[in-house]
Amino acid sequence: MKTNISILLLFLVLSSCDKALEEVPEDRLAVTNFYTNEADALAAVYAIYGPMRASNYYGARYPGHFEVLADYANGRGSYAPVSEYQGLNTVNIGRTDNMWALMYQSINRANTVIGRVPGIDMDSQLRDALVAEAHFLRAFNYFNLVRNWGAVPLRIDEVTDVSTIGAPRASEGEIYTLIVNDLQIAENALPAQGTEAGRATSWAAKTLLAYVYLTLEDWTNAASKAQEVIDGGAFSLVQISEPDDFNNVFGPEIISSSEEILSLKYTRIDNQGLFFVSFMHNAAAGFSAAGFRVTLGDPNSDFIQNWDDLDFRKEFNIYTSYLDGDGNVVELPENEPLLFRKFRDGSSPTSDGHGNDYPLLRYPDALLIFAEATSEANNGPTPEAYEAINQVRRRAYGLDPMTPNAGVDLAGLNAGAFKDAVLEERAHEFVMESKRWFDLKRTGRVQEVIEATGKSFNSIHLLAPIPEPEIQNNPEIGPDDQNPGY
Amino acid sequence: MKLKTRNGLILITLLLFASFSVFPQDTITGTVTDAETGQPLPGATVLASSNNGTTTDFDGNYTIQITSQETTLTFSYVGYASQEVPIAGRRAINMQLSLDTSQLDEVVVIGYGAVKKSDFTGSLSSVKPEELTALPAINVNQALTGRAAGVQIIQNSGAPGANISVRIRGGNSLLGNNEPLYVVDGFPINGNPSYINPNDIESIEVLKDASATAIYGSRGANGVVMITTKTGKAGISKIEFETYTGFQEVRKRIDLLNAQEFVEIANERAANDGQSPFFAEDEFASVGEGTDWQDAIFRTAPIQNHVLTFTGGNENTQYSVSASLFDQEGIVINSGFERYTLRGNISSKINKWLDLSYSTILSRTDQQAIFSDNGQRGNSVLSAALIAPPVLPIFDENGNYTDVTQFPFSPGVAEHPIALARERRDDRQTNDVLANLALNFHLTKNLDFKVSAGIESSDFRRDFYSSSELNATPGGSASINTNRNTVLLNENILTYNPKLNNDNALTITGGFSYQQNRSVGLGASSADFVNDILLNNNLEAGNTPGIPTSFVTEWTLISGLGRINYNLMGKYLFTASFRADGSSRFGDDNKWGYFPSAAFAWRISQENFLKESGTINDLKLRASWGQTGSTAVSPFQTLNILGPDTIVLNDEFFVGFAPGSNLPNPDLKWETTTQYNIGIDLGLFENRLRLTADYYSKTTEDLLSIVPVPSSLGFTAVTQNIGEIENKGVEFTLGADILTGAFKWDIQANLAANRPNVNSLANGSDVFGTVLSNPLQTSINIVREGEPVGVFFGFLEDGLDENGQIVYQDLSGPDGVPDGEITLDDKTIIGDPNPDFIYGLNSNFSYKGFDLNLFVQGVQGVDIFNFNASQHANSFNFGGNQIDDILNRWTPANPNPNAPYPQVSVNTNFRESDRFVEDGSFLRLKNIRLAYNIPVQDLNIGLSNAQIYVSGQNLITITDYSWFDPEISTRGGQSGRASFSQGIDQFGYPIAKTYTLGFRLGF
Repeated sequence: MKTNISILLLFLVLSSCDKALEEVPEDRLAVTNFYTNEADALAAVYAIYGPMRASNYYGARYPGHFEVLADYANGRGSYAPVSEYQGLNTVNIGRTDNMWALMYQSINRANTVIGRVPGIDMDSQLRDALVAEAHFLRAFNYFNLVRNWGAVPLRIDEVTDVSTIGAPRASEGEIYTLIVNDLQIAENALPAQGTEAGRATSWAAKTLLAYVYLTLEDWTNAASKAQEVIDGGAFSLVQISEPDDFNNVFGPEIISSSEEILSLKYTRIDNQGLFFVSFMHNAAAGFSAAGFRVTLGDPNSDFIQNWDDLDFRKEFNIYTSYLDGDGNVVELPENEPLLFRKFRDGSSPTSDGHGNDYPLLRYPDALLIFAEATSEANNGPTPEAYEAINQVRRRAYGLDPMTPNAGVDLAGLNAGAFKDAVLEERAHEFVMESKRWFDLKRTGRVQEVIEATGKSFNSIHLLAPIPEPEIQNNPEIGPDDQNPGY
Repeated sequence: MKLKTRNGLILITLLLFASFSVFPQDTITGTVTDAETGQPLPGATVLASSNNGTTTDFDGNYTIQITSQETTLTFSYVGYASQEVPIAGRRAINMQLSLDTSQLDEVVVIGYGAVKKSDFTGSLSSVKPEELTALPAINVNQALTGRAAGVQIIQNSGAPGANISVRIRGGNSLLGNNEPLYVVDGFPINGNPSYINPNDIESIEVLKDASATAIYGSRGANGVVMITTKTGKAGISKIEFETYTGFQEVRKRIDLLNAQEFVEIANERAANDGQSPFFAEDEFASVGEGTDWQDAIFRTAPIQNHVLTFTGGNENTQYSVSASLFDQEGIVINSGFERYTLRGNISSKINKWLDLSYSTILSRTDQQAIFSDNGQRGNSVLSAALIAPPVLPIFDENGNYTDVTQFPFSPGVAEHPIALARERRDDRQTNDVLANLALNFHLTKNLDFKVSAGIESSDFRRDFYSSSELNATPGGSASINTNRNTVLLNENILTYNPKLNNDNALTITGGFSYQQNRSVGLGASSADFVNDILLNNNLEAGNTPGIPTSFVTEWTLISGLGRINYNLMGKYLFTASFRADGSSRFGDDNKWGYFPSAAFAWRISQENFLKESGTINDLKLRASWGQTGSTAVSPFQTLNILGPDTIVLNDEFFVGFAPGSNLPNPDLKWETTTQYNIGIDLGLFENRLRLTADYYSKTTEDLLSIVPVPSSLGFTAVTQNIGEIENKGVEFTLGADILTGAFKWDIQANLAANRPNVNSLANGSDVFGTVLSNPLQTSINIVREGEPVGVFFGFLEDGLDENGQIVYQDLSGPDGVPDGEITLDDKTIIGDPNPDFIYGLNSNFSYKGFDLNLFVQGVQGVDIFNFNASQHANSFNFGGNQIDDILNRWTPANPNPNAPYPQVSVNTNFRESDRFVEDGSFLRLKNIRLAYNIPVQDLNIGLSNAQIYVSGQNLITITDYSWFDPEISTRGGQSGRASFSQGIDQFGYPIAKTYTLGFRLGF
């Protein structure tokens, strides 16, 4: 009898083992029971935006890096070598490595949506829109990759295991083909208006496509896509009557504006705000929660000197003094005499809690792309090209954008002068929006413009290095594939 | 029933009075001496047969009350053979005790049992309580330093309560925990026994070879530390009070530039970079020495420990109860550690067939943490103190913290060092409970069945508040995090011990065990407070609440185990063991692992040809083989898991779900470590000279590792079984009783050399350690085929060029030959954090009542990567203060290509090079202690023993290492990449020099 009971007990113990050893996660979701309904599909799409908002990407270090690369700003502290233009040092290579990883993380999440969401049983129009949103965001990230690293690995399928580690550097042409295809899918299937501010729309797709064509110097297509956005009438420039009215576009409490095409959204909560604001300011100025003064301006630079004082953007965007707590004017220190202040939030709880959104595409993008591309396509500015750039200028001077004003409007320029004017306009309009460096690159003017500031320029600086972990672990990429100079 | 109870009470009352009222009493006196030398033996135990006992005084004298019932007295003394003599009506009994030549017959604790040391076939090191408490040690791990051959204690940081890494015979795993398994009174605990006061420990056995550890199967690969807490002894009730108090101070400081030199270097950088001077000449003409920021953060800090222990019992029931308080303040302001413990052991023979034992430890630890280790550019207290410009005062004219980032060269992330220490609350409080109940059924004369059930519960809470005084948290930032870890254990062990005959002894052990670990956590935060008054005590007072976090993880281990010990004629010893472990952490096809072992030992000294030898009284050869494992992976690594990622749309939160940064791998399986061991135990001259030597070879296959993947996958790493690591080594332990007369001198010494080697890795790809901070931003430690684990990887320097910039050696290129460019191909092995050998030497002298203990400990042939130099000998790159040695820099006026430091400029680049690799070997007088045993027994004040001592720790350290202290490894840790990222010093909290005064009193 005793023996029988022992055997029975033994049997019970053994048979319950397998069940006891089964692993059931309680605090996280398993892929096997996800991607089954509309809510899952939405969550999968939201996740694509996550890496883009991170502090190592648009949250702070992407604008930090690319704004000090621009001719109008000098990096301070660890960013100083970036604006020395002698190739990146290890600190800054670490930063570009992180950006690369986040871009591809976002791309993999987009690939997941593109691969899995079509199989979900749900409203088909919404489903197509979500897949199109993933195409848009994938294109957005590849656009950043190809412009900064050149040829990069082309990943278009969700990665679920290690079987697909190897991928060679695909040519820039292949990457651009994918970008254009993705954006064409996106412009056709995305809604004209997002369910929430901060999500991609068909207008965002068209604007980005125009920007891509502009970068590829496909002037006709760039102009026609930009024109579609302008003609669509969905956007208008926010009117201002004094410099600080620009806070209605860039301020911390603005949820959206009539000129916003796409922004990354931040809110005034610790770790959920725009960290970049802390990179711009001197903490004492009260514009930010912390002040790293990474992006220093030079008051003697052409950019500042040639900036008309009547242009409200000038006063809004730069400062050389500030009011202290007692209302006294304090000059910025001699060594750091000028800083930028497009984004300000004196009420941020922490250094990464500023409520300002980071604009990716605004209506002025469409207008200025249209102006530049149209002029290029027609070997000189057309009246429509003048009108587009002049709308941007009039608004900047506090005028009605739609009413011509001889005092502000550009006229009588040849093709070359018009191009120069558009680029200068873009610099003033988009300062701190991570666009100037790419304008200099796509127009081939980097060396000339940087050397004009009195610095020497090493062409190594045109591309970021392929990250070390990629070279070490991707069997299709070896040390020989590294970008020149690294 | 009622009647019975009353009878019982009467019986107890009778018994209570029996010893001094019922039976006639007599007094026996005498002296206990050493049979050979005639020296008195103080503290020897004299026990009457009724378990009434006493101990001898300093002169070996004793007085014992006996009743007419007593017939014998038993005399015993540590290291001597016990003797029982009939009283036979005598009133004076003098006893001469002889040294116990079979001292090896001490019993050692092993997995699921205990054996006579002479019968043990494996390899172990025993550590005695007097060694554990010889110097102020915060916990068991620290107390083990230098005590056991082949056990390397790596103090990752000197901060009170900081983690300590323990490596037994080297590390086996790149991913898993390389820490040994700790078994406290039979309970395999979850982590470190940091909640146990070393004074509560009776003995520690470190099990090292596979024959000893395979019985712990999947957790045995890193060795097993068996901890036995103090138990009561029959017949002797004792109260012991141990206390010490002392103070600690930093061993050395770093010589930095003074204010004048700082100004010169800053302006030199400006000049070299074509900028206007940072400091106007007149403005800072008379700054002089300026502020010594190290003075501002270091302090002389008290340390104290008090332990009260009660032990006693009778033949059937014994108890041991203790309470302790340990309080250490750190040598950096606002850091400290406190621990309170209550411990109880009770064991009882309930009846003929059942024994019960119950043990419990309750512990509360309070750590007052500061951010010290692994800081950079002034964002940690230590880094901030070294970065801070000496030209600035600590407080400004209004009494506020000076703005330390006010200069154009100031690092943006730097904080005021005092503010960072004082204005940030980081309290970590843990309540630990370890409780275990065991019932041992004597089923038959030869068969025991032991059932035990236990719980280890750890409740952790971290209170954090960073005040608005700090740059990083202008509105104040608060959080509370809690974590509860609960381990439940059930073990069911049968032990069969048939009495065969004199020549054959057999013990068979077998059983099942079930262990479950569940961890749950909760975190909440808030920021932007009106003021700093509430700290983190009222999270709802913050204007912007953070996103709350929570987690649940769980793992289960189900095991079957068995072992046979066979002893043939007392000469030939055989052991075989087996364990099967099933773990929930692995994929469906790999849940079970099987871990066998076998061992043989030959006691040559028992052979006739040696039995009568006058010189060799003990000689044993041992050989063993076995396999052990490591679960290594954390739960859920085999599953495709999605985690939340919160984004903002409009102005609201939306939650996305996506995989994390690690790729899942369903094919993960156990790491298996196969270990061979041969050893010899030798005892000479009646065991006055004892030598143990072991050679081992361990090979770990199916090595689990987090392998970086190309980040273009959208993931950064994957866990894989990727290769093979080998550890080979030798260990020597020597014990000698050099003088045994009135002047006694004995020494214990150990030395171990381990040679790790990476045999193979998947695709031959390197595995990289933790990425360091600015300015290097790369992994220093590398795991590469054919090299020791975790060697340093970087560039070799070749002097300076004509611009005062560092020249790196062009070792290779894309085609394997130098290509004229400095690229990643030129990186090579530049250092090795694995020591050539480690050693400890303990020496005790005693004369009359004086004891002098000297303990020397050291590590030889080890490299440290001094990351600190990359911020404080870096050409003023970040504007942090520099070591004064950089005044030997390259300058245009003195363009010395061999200058140790390059040109001062923001454009001077530093890469991970041999410049930062230093010899970390050290020899240290770990402890010196002089004690006097007060002859209190003569005073008749109720004291049975009293000792007073003074001691000092780390008073002398011989090392070439340039930074605070060579006992440092700030990136080292217990698992994952950290476990092979050893030997980095990134602003490590330095180890202190300590002076203590202590007492031990026995009643």
